[in-house]
Amino acid sequence: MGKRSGPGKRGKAIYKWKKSLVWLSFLLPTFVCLLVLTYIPTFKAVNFSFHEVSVIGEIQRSVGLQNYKVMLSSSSFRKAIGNTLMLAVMSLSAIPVGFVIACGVNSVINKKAQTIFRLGFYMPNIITGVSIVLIFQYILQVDNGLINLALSNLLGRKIEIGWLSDPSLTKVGATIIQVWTTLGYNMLICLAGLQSIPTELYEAAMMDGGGALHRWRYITIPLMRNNFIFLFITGIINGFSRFTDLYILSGNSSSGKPAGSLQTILMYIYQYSFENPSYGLSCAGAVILFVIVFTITSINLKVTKTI
Amino acid sequence: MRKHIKATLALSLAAALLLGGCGSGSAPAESGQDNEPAAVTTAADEAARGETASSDEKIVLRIVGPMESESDTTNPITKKTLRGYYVIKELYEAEHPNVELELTGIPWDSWQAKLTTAAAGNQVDIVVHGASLVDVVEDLTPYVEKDGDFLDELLLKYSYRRADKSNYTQLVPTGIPISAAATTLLYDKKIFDDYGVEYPDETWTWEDVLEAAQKMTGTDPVTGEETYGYYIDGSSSDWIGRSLTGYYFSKGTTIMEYADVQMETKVNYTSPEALEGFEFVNELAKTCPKGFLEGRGAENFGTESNNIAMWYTQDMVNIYYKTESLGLTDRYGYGYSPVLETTDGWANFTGDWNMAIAKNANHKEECWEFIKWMATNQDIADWCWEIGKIPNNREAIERLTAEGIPFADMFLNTLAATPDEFTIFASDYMDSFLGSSNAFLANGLSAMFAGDMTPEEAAESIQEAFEEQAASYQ
Repeated sequence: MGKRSGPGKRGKAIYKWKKSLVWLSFLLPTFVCLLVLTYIPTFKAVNFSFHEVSVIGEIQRSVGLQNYKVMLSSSSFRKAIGNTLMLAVMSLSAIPVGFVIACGVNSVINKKAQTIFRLGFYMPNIITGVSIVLIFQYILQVDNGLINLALSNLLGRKIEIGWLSDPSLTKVGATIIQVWTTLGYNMLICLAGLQSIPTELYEAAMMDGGGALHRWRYITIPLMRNNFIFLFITGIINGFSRFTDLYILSGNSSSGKPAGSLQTILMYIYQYSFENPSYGLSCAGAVILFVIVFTITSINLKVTKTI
Repeated sequence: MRKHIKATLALSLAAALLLGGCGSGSAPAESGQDNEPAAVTTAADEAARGETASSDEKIVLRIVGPMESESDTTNPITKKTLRGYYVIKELYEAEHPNVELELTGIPWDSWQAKLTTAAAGNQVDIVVHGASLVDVVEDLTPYVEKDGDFLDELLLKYSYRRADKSNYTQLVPTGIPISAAATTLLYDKKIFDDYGVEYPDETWTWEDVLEAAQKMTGTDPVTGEETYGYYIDGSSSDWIGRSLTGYYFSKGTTIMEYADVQMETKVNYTSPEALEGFEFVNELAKTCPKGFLEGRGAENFGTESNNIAMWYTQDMVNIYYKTESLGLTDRYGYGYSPVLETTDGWANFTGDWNMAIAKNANHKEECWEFIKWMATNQDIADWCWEIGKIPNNREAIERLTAEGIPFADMFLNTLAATPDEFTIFASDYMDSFLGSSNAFLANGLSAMFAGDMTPEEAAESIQEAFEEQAASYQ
């Protein structure tokens, strides 16, 4: 009779598997949902990008890399990439503004007053995007808009700036809306960061004769680095996935009107998905968008050494 | 134990595949199959597919598309109660007890996207306003040939489209219009009187419109208020585009050079004649109010405090209701669109609210019966009028004309002058199926109106957009 091949070991393995089955069963619904709602559609989209597809789900023929070639050689698509990048970068201005406001709110000693400020600044974040755009369409309108009226009163002559109708200024108008919308969130994250900085550091600096500006420059800002990185990355990603407000500003169309100045990659993809169905092209655009976001995020993480 | 693990994994895989199956589309189609006109589905075909209801079972027709409210609403200006689209269900089911209608109204925003997805996913039998969704709706030619006598009762017989990309010169009927529209030159007589300008008549050309618009842009000599000669709805890509194509239509300027296959069809926006159009509309836009590119400025049109002299629009019924409720019916006039200078008629854009049959529809014969009923039923015609649409039905129009509708003659004459197989969206002047035509036109024109591009630059940018589109087809 040969030596038994370790029933003890096998028993332990079985026991481990049994234990694993418990947590596996908890993971199963999430896994199935992810598979069905994320991974399968993602792989389908990648597959569509190599085919001609004019009715969704119906692959007509394989076109190899042709869809990518068409997309990358299209000046409108390149313009949409430029618009997306520009709008994403411009929307990052909400970070310094949010930080300055957070510093102000943090300096309010009365806790109740601080809560009121916190709530007040965060409020725009919980208003639906559509309502915000509708309100800002009045604020930014060319004739008798609030901003133009304020500027007219300030400068003593009639100012009629087409924040939303002049192609050279629409990005500024769209950024004003975006900054106002995300300001509260940026402020809140910065405030949390500010409140986590140990007070001992400030006390030590004060004892060493460091002024308020020095403390802010050499303690606050360096210790807020991780918060800034987080806001930068999420801001960029949000900037790339921006759609609803720009779609409404363009007169409920994906054209990015006027002059395509507000057409982002997502709107371009939408145009080829629904307004002029060519799902192969739109999926190629989506894959390109993924590659851009992935690359920028990786570079960003690498540069900031958080990975 | 292994069995358990295998069973668990098998179950997971089965669940994933099952759910995945829900999300996947239909079976791959062979190239070109989509474009072949479908034969009329006979009752025998449906029986073979197991789709025909037994004598006890009701046939369910799923009708989806942009429709007004499902329930009653009140017009905020006229205070009139507008019946919801439940009227269709009530009337039809009363006359056809074996049919049940499932009506789903969707908003006009992104309606094409929503309808295409729903129709491709086999969720729709009758596509409301679906004639332009050529990939997912039937060519109605076989239906018309078999049972099209009722079309003589209609003002506009069909909604035509270039449905076959490999036979692009051919127009095919893809929808039946339930209501019709004609673009009209609405005008405020008071502003014309204040400036001493003659009212538009059926001989006006676009140059007459521009001349009058320029005269009436400025300070009203009687009221001292600022007035504007013309209005373009800048919030709508469609209407920005139409400001140009209306001119081309009137002048007979050919823009499209159709080829047998869609991908070889060319556009020519940079010819001297086409450029004239850009220069013309650029001048016309200067007579519009400041906020027109943001879709503002005509809010008071139809009221006492209006300051727009002329508006080229299809919304004449609602303006009429508005003026009627405010006692201003006599103040506003309904002029013909500018005259066609190369043929007879007026430069109008006949539009419609149509119905089409989805390629994936069940009970196609019943769908056709329903569309026939919608187009000819007089109660439905009255309901259309009530909600601001002009019924596409001779009998209904004659009844309404007898009631003294001020634009009745203009409307009937305009539609009568429209050739049978004409649709502006697939004409020599534009083709809304050649890519995102409206978006291309709106982008170039809005930049020109904002002063960011010259007419030449705008024309070149539009030309480039169309050429890129053609390249993507190739």
